Amino acid sequence: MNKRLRWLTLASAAAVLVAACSGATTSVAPASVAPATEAPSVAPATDAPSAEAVTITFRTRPDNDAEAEVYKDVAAKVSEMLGNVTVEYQKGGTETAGYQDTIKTEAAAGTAPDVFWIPGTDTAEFATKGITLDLRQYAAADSTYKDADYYEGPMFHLTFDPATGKPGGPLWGLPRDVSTFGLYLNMDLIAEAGAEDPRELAKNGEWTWAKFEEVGAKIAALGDGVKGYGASSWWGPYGVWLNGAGGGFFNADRTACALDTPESIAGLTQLKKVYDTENFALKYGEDPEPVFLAGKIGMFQNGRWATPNIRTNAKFNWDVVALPDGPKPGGNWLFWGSYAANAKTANPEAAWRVVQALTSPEIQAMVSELGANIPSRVGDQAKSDFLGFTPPANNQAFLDGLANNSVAEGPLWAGSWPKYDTVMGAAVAAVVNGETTIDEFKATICAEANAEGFGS
Amino acid sequence: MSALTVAQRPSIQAAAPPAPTGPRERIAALLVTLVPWLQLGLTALGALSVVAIILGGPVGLPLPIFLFILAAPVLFTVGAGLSTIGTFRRTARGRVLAVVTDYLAFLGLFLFLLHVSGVYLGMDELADSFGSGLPWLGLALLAFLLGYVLDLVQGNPLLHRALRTVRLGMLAIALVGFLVAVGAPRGVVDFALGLFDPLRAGLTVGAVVLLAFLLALWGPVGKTRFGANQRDSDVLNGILLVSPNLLGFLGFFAGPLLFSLYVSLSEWDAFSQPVFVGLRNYIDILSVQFVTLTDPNVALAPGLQQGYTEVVRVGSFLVAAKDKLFWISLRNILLFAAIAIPLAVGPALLLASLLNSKVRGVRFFRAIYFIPSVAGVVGIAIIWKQLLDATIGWVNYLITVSVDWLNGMFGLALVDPKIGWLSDPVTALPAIAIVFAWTSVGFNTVLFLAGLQGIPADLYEAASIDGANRWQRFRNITLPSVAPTTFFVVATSTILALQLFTEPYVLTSPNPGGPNNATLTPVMYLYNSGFKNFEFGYASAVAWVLFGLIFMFTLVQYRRQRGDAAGN
Repeated sequence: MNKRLRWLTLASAAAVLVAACSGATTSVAPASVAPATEAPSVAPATDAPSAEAVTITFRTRPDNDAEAEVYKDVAAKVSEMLGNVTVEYQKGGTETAGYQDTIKTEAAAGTAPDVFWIPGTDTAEFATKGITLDLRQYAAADSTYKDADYYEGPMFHLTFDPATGKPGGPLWGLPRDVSTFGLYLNMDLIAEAGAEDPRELAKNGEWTWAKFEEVGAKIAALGDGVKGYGASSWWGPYGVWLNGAGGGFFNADRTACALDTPESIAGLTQLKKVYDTENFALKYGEDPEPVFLAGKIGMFQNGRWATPNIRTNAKFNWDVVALPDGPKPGGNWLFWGSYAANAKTANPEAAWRVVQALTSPEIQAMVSELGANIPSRVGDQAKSDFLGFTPPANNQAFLDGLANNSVAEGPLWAGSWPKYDTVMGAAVAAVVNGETTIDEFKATICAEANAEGFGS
Repeated sequence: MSALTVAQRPSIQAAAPPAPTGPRERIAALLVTLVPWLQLGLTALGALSVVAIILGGPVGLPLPIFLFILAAPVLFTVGAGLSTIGTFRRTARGRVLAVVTDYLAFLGLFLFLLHVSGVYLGMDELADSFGSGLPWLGLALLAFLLGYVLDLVQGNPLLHRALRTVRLGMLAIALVGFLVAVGAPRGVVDFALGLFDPLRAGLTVGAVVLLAFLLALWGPVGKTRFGANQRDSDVLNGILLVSPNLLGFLGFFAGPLLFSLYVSLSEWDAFSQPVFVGLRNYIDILSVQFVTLTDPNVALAPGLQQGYTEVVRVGSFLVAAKDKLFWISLRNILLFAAIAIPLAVGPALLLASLLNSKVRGVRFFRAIYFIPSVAGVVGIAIIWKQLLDATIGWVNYLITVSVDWLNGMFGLALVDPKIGWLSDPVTALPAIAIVFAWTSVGFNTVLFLAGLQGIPADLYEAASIDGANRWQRFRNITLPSVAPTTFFVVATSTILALQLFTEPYVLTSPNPGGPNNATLTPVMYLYNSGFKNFEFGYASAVAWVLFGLIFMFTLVQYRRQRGDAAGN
């Protein structure tokens, strides 16, 4: 019996091992793949596309399972659109689980997916390390493709040529979506506080930093732990104060630090004022989203990506307004991320076709239904698709944020963004928390940020 | 030692082996006869691969990595060559070497076959489909439980036999159902079709042939033919028994360790070739500059060397470093260890003392205290992040309620501190130390409990008779008796504390290491250097510096413990 059991165990182990063989054979789809039932809306990449059936692996960084399900559907739809290309979706890890780090490590080992999403700030590093493929030759052979179909800000970086230091050369991917900050409003708190409606103020062109302070102070005066304003502490939320004052992180050609300019310092001063005003803002560094959802924050600054969670979990009346104007109107971020192709993909042409299909109007409309994204294609159709998905009622606030002198987030082609961000984030936190003064910040920040970020 | 004994023993010319009795023995005998030629073939193949690697040259590879790659085939060739001589001479030592080289060759072929068959990648899909096989494993569990019923009906042979048949049937159905559910038939077909590929077919045949030789050589025929005695067999069995662990250790621990040592002497981004830079990474990490300021209030300290930034300033004394973040992370981890280790060890000893009593329900509490040790650290950290939220967290809520209660009850005017546990640079590290201690106490308690249970009861009895009170018994009996356990607990807690990563990474996201680098640890820093900045050489150097630090701490503790044990 023991002997029989031993053989049985061995046979089971071998069978399970052999079962794993079945997974390995899916990298090439069977030749008898059924043809697409609908005419593909994306034109073939070349005049004579390869007829060989191939499989393209594709990965994104979904915020939740619902989003992952949409991307699964997207993969199926793109497979249907392209006919001889089967797109296999891989659910990537979350932002805090090191999504980009995983892809970079896989790229070094040669096992990264064929097509993947990356944040805009990572574009330069992926391109200069040879992780992403220059898709220009495939795009050039495609008569339906135009750079101008997408927002200009992302395309500046996606077509940037590190050799010449100018845009308009290679093509490192296509933008999946764009986003920007808005202020999510707890309308119940605003009404209870008797504050002016920020949406009305914005409509009348009176939505300024001063009015923002006024409304926030009234909300904070409600007491019981209620705050007027809350935001996260990464570079985006504090960056808009610098941008709004006419400053910014970098000089014009993004080759050196500009955090010590008078305009940037004015923005930082305003940021500090917001956090130093008693009870006005949620403590810097605390996660504002659960506090907002608990009904304790009147104005919560976050991107469009926060909308699905707020739609699901907010138990109060809420809406959105654009960020208030500072000395220089606008200055909101134009966030973006792109679909890029793996430089080592075995099927570069198919990868290009998948990238193009993933940013097609049909697919962008599918993704927009999540409520988390704004289509990356310019044009009225994309805008009307976006405006149709409510709540929030005031979706226009996001489009206004994009249109009003927005600053495209971008990678550092001349330096290291992660290192720059590390120095900058710690220094800003030190100022806001009162560990250093603004004067000390001004005196030291650019020496350190330039040394770390640009090696100069 | 045993291997040496075997090697040094004079070779034994085998007496005429007994004639094979069955087909299996006859095949084994034939294979054993052919073993020397197989070994010769393996030697030739090994030599060819060495030549090929040398002729291929260190194309784009630094010399140390090239030599590292070359070492394995050279060692294999030497082993196979010696085994060829030994098997031609029919020595027991030759058999041992032949089994080892055949085993390695078989393993290499088998693993390569799995690779070209895509099994490693296929495991991912198997993991996905494994869930669909679980109901069938449930059936197997039922069949297993039926075994207990079988024991109960042993007095009824008819029923026993029937139930036994049912049980076997259930097991068979469960096995088949499970394999079908996880896609084994498709895998078998794919594997079989893959055999038409010349490479896969060749590898399969090669692996099967080598396995056959291995079994023949290892079995009684090989043992007799080479005049091996029981001791030889024990040695061989010992080698084969430890081989999975040994190979795993060499491949996945010692190899990467040596590689990281080399990488730490290089500049390497994982995409291009490493550039040897000697000790430059270590110098950059450890370089510090001390400056005395004439004006302590000056923002940008004058006199700093190029590339140095301020780390800390005490009055007019300033310390700057080339790598400010490393020194900040070092300061943080030492501070963390100073807070977290007493919190993880002291309460554990106290709890263990309580749990060592014969109180009703003590087993329940032992289990309860141990739960945090087996729970996932990420899950724990996420829960603690919610608990420690400054505005809507339970910890601050309890503080608020307590302050209100005290003020109301005693007419005090206490102010609710509204602690920003994870957002305030002053409290962030202690907050993480609390979480760390909470997860460590359970495991440490179990260790202390084992130590306490080894203390003879008569020591306490004698002490009680002599009039020692509870504290005196604890101080003079318990503490000295658990000293070895305390050393182990403190040493392991220190190592864990100095390697801190997950708790601060999760608790302080989306700005890991924040606020203002207050929770940046050396491991987090090396992770950032390697996987965010892609400076793997530098990250490896940080890892080796951290290793040195941990080694030093452990050594000091070890020496102190030995000193205490010796009564110094």
